[in-house]
Amino acid sequence: MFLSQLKLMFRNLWRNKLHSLINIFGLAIAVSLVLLLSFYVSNESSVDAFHKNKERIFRVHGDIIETFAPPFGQYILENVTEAESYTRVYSLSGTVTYNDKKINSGNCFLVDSAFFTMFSYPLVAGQANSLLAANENVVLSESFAHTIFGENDPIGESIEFSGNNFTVSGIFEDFKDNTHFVKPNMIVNFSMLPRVWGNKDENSVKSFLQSYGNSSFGLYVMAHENSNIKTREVELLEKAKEFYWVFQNGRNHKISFMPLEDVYFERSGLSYIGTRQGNKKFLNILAIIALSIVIIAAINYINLSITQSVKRAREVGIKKIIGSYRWGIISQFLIESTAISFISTSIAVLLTLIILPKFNQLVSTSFSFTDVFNAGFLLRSIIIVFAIGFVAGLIPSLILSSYKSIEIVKGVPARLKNNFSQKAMVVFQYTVSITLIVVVILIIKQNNYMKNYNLGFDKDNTFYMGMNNETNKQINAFYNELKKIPGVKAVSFCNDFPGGSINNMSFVYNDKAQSFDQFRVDTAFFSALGIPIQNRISVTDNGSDNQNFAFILNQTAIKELELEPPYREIEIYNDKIKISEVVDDMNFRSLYQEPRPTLFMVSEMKWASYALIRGSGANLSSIVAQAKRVFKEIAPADPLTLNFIDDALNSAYIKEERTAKIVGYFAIFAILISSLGIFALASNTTLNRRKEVGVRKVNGANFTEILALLNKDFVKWVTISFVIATPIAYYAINKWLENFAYKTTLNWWIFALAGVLALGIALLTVSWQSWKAAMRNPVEALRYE
Amino acid sequence: MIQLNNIYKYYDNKFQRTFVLKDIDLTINEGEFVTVMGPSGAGKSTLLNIIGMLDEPSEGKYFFLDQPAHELKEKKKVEFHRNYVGFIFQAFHLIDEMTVYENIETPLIYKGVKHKDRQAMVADMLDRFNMVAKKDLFPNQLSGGQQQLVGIARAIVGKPKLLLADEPTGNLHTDQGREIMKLLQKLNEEGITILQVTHNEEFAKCGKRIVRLVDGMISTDEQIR
Ligand SMILES: Nc1ncnc2c1ncn2[C@@H]1O[C@H](COP(=O)(O)OP(=O)(O)OP(=O)(O)O)[C@@H](O)[C@H]1O
Ligand SMILES: [Mg+2]
Repeated sequence: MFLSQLKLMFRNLWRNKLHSLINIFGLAIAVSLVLLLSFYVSNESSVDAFHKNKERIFRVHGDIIETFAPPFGQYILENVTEAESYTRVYSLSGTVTYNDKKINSGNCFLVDSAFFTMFSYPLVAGQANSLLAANENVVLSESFAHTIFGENDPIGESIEFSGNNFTVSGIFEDFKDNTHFVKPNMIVNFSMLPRVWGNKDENSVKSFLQSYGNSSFGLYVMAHENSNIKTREVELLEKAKEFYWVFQNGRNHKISFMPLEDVYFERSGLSYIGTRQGNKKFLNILAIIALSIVIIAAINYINLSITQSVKRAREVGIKKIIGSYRWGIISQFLIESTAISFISTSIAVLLTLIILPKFNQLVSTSFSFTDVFNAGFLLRSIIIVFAIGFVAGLIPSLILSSYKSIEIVKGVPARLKNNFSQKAMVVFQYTVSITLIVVVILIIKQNNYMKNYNLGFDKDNTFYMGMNNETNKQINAFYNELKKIPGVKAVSFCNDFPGGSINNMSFVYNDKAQSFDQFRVDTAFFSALGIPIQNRISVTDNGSDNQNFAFILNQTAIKELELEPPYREIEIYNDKIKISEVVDDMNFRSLYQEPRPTLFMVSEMKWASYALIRGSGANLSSIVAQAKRVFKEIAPADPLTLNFIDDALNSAYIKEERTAKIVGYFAIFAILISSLGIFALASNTTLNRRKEVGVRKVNGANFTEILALLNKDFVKWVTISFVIATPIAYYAINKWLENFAYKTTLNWWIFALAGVLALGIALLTVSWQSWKAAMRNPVEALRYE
Repeated sequence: MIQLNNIYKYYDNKFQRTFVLKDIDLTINEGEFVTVMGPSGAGKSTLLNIIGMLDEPSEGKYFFLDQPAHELKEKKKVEFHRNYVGFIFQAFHLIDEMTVYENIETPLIYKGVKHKDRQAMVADMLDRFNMVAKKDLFPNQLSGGQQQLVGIARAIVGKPKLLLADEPTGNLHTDQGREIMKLLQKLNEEGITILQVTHNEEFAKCGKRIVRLVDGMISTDEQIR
């Protein structure tokens, strides 16, 4: 019975090849997208779930501060009995030297020896508890070890990293996307940090490790089993207030132990401690889109099946006459839809393989096939097969099984009643499509708005190069060579620049805690970025024994400090500092936020992190090429980093671009599949109204009148969809725009454009059918009766 | 076997009630071969469909094998279709996606006949109608006469007590029609009760009794053999 039904199904599929193709592939594409998205969503929601100790690892954070000073971990260990071990985490990069090879280290983590025993990162070589036993040990990622050593065994080999020698003590498997840490290439002892920074003095190394001055290190604590460390937060805060400045003067009112699995979505994404931020909102968007896509595809299946059913009415009628129960018919069509769902899902699994690289690129993940095809994936596929099979099969099977055999016997041509559910489904499809179109247009508009926003300085035509030992040692020669390049307008040395990392300066002014963006720059910085300066800046405005500098504030800083004009002087850290100039606010960071209070320490830069080069727009590429050559002449062995300021700034919007792209793809897909759906519907309507059209033509209706007659309904549906979609899209857009301090305007034309687009596509699809109907010879149509 | 008492069939339109069958009284016993004749639109097919329980009378009582068919539940009617009634149509009504073999086999599947027995019964039918060589063909690969043979095979494979044939020869050449009629006579001799509709006087005489229908009423009812 079952087999003969399947046989019958395949014959039917074969007979209606076009419909079958639309059905199966529409469903397959939807399912593959859903499989990928569900995999991504489940992967994101299980970040850090693989650590054996995940229940008892906590990240320490305050209500504002998320990083702490070096000795604080040890303090917690000694004063909170629940604490079993801790690790600090810091991330930096430098140059790795092995024999004659020099390469950029990428992410190098500085952690405590407990890191590998607390977390469960799989090791390729070495024992977790002894990897970082010695100060000079380094643990490499599998791929980075391969980059340095090729096929040779790296264990016991010695490499140089930022002027220090390390011995390879172990290899860990490359971190996957299932942890909130970004992939490190190498991991060394935290206590080596001052030396890696270039500080060789034994005493100052010690004092750094014991000082509470610099609070920029991530801190993770592992509690004893079956203890409740969170109950000790208040007590710890009270104690810390007595000696630790970050808890004084109302800077932080809280100290908490955040469970490891919450960190990814709650607060991470601090590049300097090597963590990345999960995005619940993005995840929710994807989940909603995935759901909509399945519904749209299922609706299509339903609509196509209902349309198909006219052709199968005879089969149903005959089967009833020769002894089938209604239930037998229903189960037949349910089995069919499940079988089709199975075929589609199988194709979807293959499609997933094809889409995966593109998907990885789109959401910046690095899933491999083996990652994706796990037990959960299989389970989800099976659930999808039956869920779609049942949901999509039910309505057509109910409709089909309700055909009365008497009509077949009487030769009444089976036709569909004007089916409300079918209209409702099309309206749903178009509502989703129009909403998606509006959202895509707006995201693109907002992105353009941000990219073209007048930031208060000129971000174009300026690029930066990372400085290193060699270029710093010959900084004057470097400067002169760069300046010689034709077209170069300014060369500046600085430690901070817009689009890069910007130093934070925290201080107390008039009993109020302040957090400022601090730029350490030279005088050329302003011309390199086209920042208007009224007075000539003299770096000798302020001076101490070893450093002269000019001091510049922006308007927000003045507001924060509540200074009154004329702004002459300010007292910070008990020093009287002369204010050389006050500049307008500029958006040095992304437009997600308002400009921050900013101060510029302008001095002669004898040692800098970056060189900024401004060229004329005309021959920028040749300027870049020559700047690279200059760099290679001075530091031939060192890795070169070079990027444009505008690119660096725009990289803040990559996330939005990614969202736009994904929503865009899905919008296209939603429209495509919806069009397939109304294509099928149109073919049904025109079939049903064949006679009417024939009669009207005989009575003299012209081509356009017929076309209008047949298209009227579809225009109505799309219009209803538009009316429903508008408030939904409006709400979604407003919600999304809340992310930005600077918002593009919401014009009516966005909605109009989306509506017209949807309508246009719908009309094109439908008219193809109507056209055929209108062109048909009326005699031929009437003969059917 | 079949007893119709005061059967009416009408359709209600917006303004009027159209009567298709008016006050039909008819009794058919087991083993009869009845021909229904009458002008087009007289209600012959309607009568047959009511007897076959595909349609319902608007008024009146209908007893099939002493069961009140006008009160039967849908499920019970399906049981009757499975076990007691076979249909043959002018338009054959075979399932296009099924082979000859499968078309004949399907009623047996619904009847719950075991696979082995099914094979034997279908093989019997194919043998009887000389269709063994054509068993894997689809209906559209057969001539009209052959299709009607398959239709008859399908109708009788489940050994029904009653065979309803609505113009079984209507789409066939006279030669093919004669053959079909011979077959029906043979089936009747084997014990199947047959009720057929035809416009052909020659074929009408193949039956044992002729009922003439005019304007939804029985005008004559004569036993000819
Ligand atoms: N659904 C309906 N609504 C109204 N009238 C109907 C309906 N179905 C059938 N009729 C009418 O019932 C009458 C009898 O139809 P029926 O098919 O029984 O005739 P018939 O005797 O079989 O004719 P023919 O020899 O042409 O097959 C016809 O006049 C037909 O128009
Ligand atoms: Mg008739």
